[in-house]
Amino acid sequence: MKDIFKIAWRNLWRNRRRTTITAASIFFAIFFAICMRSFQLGTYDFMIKQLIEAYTGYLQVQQKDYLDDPSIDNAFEASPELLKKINSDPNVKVAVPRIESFALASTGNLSKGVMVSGISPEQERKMSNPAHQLVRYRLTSQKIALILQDKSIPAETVDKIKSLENQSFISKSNLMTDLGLTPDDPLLLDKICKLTTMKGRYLQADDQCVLISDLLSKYLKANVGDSIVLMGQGYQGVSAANIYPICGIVKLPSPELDNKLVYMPIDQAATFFSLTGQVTSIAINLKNTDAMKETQKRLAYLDPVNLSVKNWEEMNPTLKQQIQGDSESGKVFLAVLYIIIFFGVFGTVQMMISERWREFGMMVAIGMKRGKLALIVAIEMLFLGFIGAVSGMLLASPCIVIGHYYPYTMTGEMARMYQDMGFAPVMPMALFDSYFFLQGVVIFLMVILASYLPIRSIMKLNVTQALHGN
Amino acid sequence: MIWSIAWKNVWRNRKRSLIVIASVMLGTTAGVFTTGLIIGWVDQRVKVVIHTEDAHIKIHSPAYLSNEEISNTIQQSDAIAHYLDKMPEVKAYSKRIKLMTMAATSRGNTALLLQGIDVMKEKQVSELYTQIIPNGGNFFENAGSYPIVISEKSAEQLRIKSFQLSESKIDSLQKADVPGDVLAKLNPILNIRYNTKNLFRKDVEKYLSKKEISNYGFAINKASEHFRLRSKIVFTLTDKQGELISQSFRVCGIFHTSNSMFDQLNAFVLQKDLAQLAGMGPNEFHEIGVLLHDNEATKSVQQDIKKHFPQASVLNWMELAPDAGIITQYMDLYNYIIMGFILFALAFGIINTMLMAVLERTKELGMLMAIGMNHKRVFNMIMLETVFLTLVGAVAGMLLGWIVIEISSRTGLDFSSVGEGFEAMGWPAIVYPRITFNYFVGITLLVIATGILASIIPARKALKLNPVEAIRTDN
Amino acid sequence: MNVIEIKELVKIYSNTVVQVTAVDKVDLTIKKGEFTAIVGPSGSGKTTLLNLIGGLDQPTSGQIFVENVDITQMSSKKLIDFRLNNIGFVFQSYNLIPVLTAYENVAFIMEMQGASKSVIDTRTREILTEVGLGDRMNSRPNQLSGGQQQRVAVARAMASKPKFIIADEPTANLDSKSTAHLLEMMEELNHRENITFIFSTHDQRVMNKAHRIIVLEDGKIVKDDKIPENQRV
Repeated sequence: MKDIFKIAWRNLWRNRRRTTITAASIFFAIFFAICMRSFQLGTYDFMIKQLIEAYTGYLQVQQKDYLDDPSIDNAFEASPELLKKINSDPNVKVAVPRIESFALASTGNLSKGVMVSGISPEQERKMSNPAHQLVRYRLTSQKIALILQDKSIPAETVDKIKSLENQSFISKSNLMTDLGLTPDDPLLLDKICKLTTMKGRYLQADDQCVLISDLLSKYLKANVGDSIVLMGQGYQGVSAANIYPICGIVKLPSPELDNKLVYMPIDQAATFFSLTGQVTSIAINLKNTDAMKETQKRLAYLDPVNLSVKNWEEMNPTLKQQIQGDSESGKVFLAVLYIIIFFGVFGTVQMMISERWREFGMMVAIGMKRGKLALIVAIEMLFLGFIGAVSGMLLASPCIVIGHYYPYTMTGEMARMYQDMGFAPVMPMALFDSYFFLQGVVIFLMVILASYLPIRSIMKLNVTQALHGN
Repeated sequence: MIWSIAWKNVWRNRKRSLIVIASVMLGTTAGVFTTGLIIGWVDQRVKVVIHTEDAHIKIHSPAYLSNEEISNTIQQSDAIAHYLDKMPEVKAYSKRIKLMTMAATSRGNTALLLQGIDVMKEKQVSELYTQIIPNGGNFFENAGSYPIVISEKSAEQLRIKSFQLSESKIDSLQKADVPGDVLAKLNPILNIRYNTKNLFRKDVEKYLSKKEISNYGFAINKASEHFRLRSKIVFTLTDKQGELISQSFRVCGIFHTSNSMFDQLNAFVLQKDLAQLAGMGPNEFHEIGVLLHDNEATKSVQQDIKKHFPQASVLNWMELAPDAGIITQYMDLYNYIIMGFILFALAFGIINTMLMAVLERTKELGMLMAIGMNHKRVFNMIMLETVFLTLVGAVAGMLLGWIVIEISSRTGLDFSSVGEGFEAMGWPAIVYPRITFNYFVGITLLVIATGILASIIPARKALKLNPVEAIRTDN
Repeated sequence: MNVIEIKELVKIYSNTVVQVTAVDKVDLTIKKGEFTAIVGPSGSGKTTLLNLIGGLDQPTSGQIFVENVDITQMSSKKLIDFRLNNIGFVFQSYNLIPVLTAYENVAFIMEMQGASKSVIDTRTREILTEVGLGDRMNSRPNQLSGGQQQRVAVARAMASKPKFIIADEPTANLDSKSTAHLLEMMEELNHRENITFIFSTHDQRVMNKAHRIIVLEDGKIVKDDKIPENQRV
């Protein structure tokens, strides 16, 4: 039996060029398929992380009519026992109560529709963690002018500084990276930080002030210390209106959220919307997101009469559809690619066999069974597929690792376009997962399929015809 | 004659050639069709951008772009209007007042950007008035006091949309070929009003099987949509003096565009109503939308207006809707890259086939080189054969692709199942593929280039042959 | 002027194991209009010699003059052109392009030489008629018999107006009738048009027709006889 493998392997290399070219075509197909799927899946994961994990949560406990009718009237009571039960579920990483509703925010003559999010500041640290997103440095045009009064700054850094006009940063290290500075250069960085520092702090439970998101603050021209008027509709139609000072600005990673979010302590939100002890949702992040649906079923038992548990796909079907649409179109493209390679492999096997037909005739004449011959050729093709597939996977691996930890960031117009649509302009790649091996399996199956008919013809080989050649 | 030899050589091994031709044909069809699809999409999007959302050019006060305060109206709007009147490239223009407000009904609230328009002028610039949904009222035809036209999405958010099956609706469904027995099952929920789509669907699911729902659900849903026209919506806004004003408007019409973001944000009222409410003067406008006769004139007209009114901000639709602008710019490149990719995948098979062809003909090639066929001619012969082989498949593929595009452009391709996802990004869910002649030219050139490049490996193999060895016969 | 003049021609093949002297200091002169056969057993070097004369191979040392032009000094690129315009070839088999008709095969070589369309047409018809294939001009090689194919090959070789024609075992695959026809035709051409023919052959029938027989053994010419007309068959 081992002989067969040896023979098959050696046969492959008898026509080096053809073997190499065919293996290369398989390699190319797999490499591209893996990279493309990795980009796609990585981007979806990223989008989900940004919108869902960083804000909505994979699951939410809501009043059962809330999803259809997300009005403040569909708030529910969130007793400490309920929260405890939810938090004790094995797959729940964190569960936070929220009061969320819509309001109109205005400063002076500017107004915008915003999402008011009443949070429990300390608990929320484990969920969307606004504290982490506090803007510490902002390069306004005046601040930049001030910085550039120092003529000793190198030209390229000056350009970088100018290109970052109006950008906000949540940490010194981010600022450093974007300016292209290194830690051995602390003087300049410190100086810039000092000049551009923003006042601002995170919320405390008994605060009467709010945090607003970065893009929102730029639109409303509202800064820390300014006040913002909020107007909306409260529980059972009572009108809600109040004025709040701004105690901090947070920069949210998703532009869609960043231009409309106002955080306030949950007690304040309750007062604003005239709620007593009720919340609109309990947002939940999970330890194992693959078990989302099971966790959802489990939690639904807590109060099946009044409450329901929704997962993010139900809460944001648009996002789901976007992901689906993109994924499907990607699959179609790959299918076309695979079919092309299929033809290539089919043609190659066909050529290979017809070229060696005489040799096969001879082997059958001297006594080799046709079945064994077919098996040898089949194994040759399996080797071929294997080489192509494995090399493709091997070469794709470092690419996806790099693409994951150092994702491709778009710049310029493309970046702005993505941001306008509410996505961050980053294209990370997904790490190893089932898709990786799936591609390998698909290609493998395809090689087998493509080889089937030609190899089967060996079984019908007629010795005299073969030896005489055509 | 080398051309003739090369062409005839393609058909020497019919079976083998047909395999390559089939794969090239398939790949080319896929590439052509994808191109048609993308062009069709972009077409739709651009059409919507220009004819519904942004017109060709929009004029604002530069202050308004950075600060949408009510006081940032266009300076010299009169002079600009006069100038536009005299420009032959300008088909129509519309002056608008825009105000961000908060809208509320007893059941829901949302933020809306109110656009105060001159109805006649607006109809000349924007086709929005054609996108009023069936049973969705009209575009300011029988005004009444404080009429407003809102989007279907806004109607949902404000709970003005409900779902209800009535006798007449059942009749219309029957006329639309929904079977009577299925409809009879819905009798229990006749005339019950549901506030949301989900509540309605839950009840329908009680009476119909999954199969019946997948076949007729969409139609039943659509037919049962009911908009409470003439409902009141209360708007809160800040006027020019900074005072908070409230005013209720009555829904006059409901529209639906293919861009959910646009729909969610915008609502339309009469200019005189909004101006009066906000305390604005007769010549104070925030925006002028300009429609041209010809898309191509956009940039030149924009420059022209800019030159005459340097203090105004003049933007074209590509700048206003960068997603459409960028895609239009890069679309050609994108399409050719896709095609190039496919050709690259095909090249492997082509190279292998041609290699085999060369190896089969070593004696013949040796003979040719012996009698005096020089390297250039040998290369050309093989290169031409490769190109012909590839071209046959490509031409067949282009033809098939063109046919598919022609057929699908009549009916349009429906992506409604993932439609909401597309519309959320502003892209239409129904696409009419289209392709232009220069693409075929471009693809042909790409195919020829692929053929030439693919011929290099087999040609080199041929040129390396030594005539002496090649013609050696064993006896 | 001699058509071919060969001086001290040597061709040595060497690989890592052994060295073979295929052509060993050969001197040879061939005049215009000759009908010469080079004979000898396998391994005698006649194929090598013919390849050298035909400019298909380069010697280890020595010179070959074709009408006073030293082809041993030519680059392989130049040799290709030289062969095209000055040397005609008839091989044992695989002489013709299978996808072209007899007419096209003959016309092809003239087209490579750059002749005008009308000249090509006239001459092709002329030559094909001369070799007796006037009615088979539009047949492809696989529709012709072995003998007919060889005749087309000769026509093609002639069409290029070469200084001489090299025929390497042209009759090896033919039956006696076709061989006779072919030889007759070539002799006729030689007589009428004064075309120089150089054969390499095993075939007695060819030798019987030859006007001059050169015998090679171990790379050396051991016999070089002119055969007077009355001794030919």
